[in-house]
Amino acid sequence: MNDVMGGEHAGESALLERLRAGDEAAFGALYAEYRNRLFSFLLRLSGRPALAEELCQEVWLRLVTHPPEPKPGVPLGAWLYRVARNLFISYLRSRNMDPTRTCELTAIQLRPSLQPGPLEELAEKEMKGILRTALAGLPLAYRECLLLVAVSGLTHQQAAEILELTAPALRKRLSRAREMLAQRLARPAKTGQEGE
Amino acid sequence: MSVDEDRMTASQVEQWLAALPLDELRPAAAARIEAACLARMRRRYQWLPEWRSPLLDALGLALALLLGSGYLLETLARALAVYGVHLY
Repeated sequence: MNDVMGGEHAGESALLERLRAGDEAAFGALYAEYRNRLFSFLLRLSGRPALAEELCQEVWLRLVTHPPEPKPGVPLGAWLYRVARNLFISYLRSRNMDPTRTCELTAIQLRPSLQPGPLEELAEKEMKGILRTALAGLPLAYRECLLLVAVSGLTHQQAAEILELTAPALRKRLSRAREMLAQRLARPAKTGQEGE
Repeated sequence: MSVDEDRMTASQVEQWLAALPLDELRPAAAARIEAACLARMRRRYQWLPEWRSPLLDALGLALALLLGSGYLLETLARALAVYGVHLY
């Protein structure tokens, strides 16, 4: 998952150049490479599959309408996540929703099917479910930070540019996000142990 | 849970996050998005070659005229100012 920064970037730049020239096959290749990554990012950001699909389509349409120039060392993912994140923020603003409170809605949307018990008894699938729920419950500022760096594999510098933060501010926020997530993951276990 | 245990958990968080499987876009949605994008590409790249050159030429000419006339007016104004100062 974190391979977006690897040697494939040169090939990706070539694909982007071809896309800018109107090559449909190049679009197909980039779409195949990023469609699930982008959808996952948007789903985890918004917590709503229908909205994630809608925003996903808008991002891809923007790519074909105004494809970015390839930049050395910068994967297309950085551009896609930036556009996706800005669209999501615009969506929240258009609905007069407070981005700092979206965690409540996201957590509610992702909660079904997850009934966390003691960590020792959880299967891997359930653990991932808990992780998703805990991630969804983080405030947007911390969630997007983790999604960009830990899940999508962008560098701190790339994530800082997308989030319009300085590198030290990003590191601080990332550290806080990890701590918050860890606390949320620890809570069910603690509760379960106390109940025994 | 102690503070140390919390810290240990925090250090594992990124590993767990990185191991999360991707959520898959529904095949129907994926096909719809791809079709919409390809249709947009076809419109964009079939339309542009026919119109882009003449349009760019016209824009270039208009820009050159604006800049050129601006330069001429500025030169004329300077000449008049120098001439006026000379007469005074």
